[in-house]
Amino acid sequence: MSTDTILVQRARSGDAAAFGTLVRQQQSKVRGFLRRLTRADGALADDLAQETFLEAHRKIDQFRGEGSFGAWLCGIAWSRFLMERRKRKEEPLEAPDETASIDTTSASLARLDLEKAMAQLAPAERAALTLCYAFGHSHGEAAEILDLPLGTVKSHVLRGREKLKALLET
Amino acid sequence: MMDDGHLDALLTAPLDDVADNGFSSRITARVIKSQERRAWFTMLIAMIALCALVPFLPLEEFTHAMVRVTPVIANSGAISLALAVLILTFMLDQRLRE
Repeated sequence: MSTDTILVQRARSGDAAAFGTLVRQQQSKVRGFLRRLTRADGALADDLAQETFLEAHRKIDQFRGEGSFGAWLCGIAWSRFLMERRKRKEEPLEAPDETASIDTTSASLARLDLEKAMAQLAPAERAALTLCYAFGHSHGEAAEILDLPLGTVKSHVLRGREKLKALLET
Repeated sequence: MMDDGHLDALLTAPLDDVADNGFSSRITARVIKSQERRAWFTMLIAMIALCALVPFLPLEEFTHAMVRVTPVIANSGAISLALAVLILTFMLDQRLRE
């Protein structure tokens, strides 16, 4: 049995410290994912991450342990992000925003270029690329996390890559 | 010209670590607070349910039974000893916890 599974079981039985350990283990991944989705809006990403973890705590009985706990959290983070976007009625899913601002403090030049280019992709493309490349999930896992058909995720990845290539060449 | 290998290398690089800066502690504190709220709410509901049930409880029979049983308990050496052991164990446990 993995450490995650043990911690989840303890958290389910009301052990707040076990849930705290899970948060400490996963916070960087979830916040990093949300920062990329919100185009480096740290405050918004952290608000969404907080809501993500609180929702995860409320719904921890629904975690079946089929995938990793981190992947399950990313699914909640993605749905939280979509809800927030709908609420703000900004940045349509398929029409990228050209005026992205990036926090550049610790990024290398190549990473900075990537983040700038990433910010110009549609959110679903950003999410699919991050899950499949930076987090190493398969297309199937990413489809499950994003609650999208497998074909749609594959085309998001393909289209996102092509757009990135073009953006990074200019 | 950006080749696929270079793009893959950029994309597969892990995201920058995000420093915790008290984030986990804040979440844990909120979780504990919500658990406490839930416990209070459950207790409140239980109390309300109990209060609603009181008029339907056979209190008279219960009182008669207590009147019969209380002297037996009070005069029993074994029960007194058991109670004393229980109290001493509880006190010792409290001491050890401190």
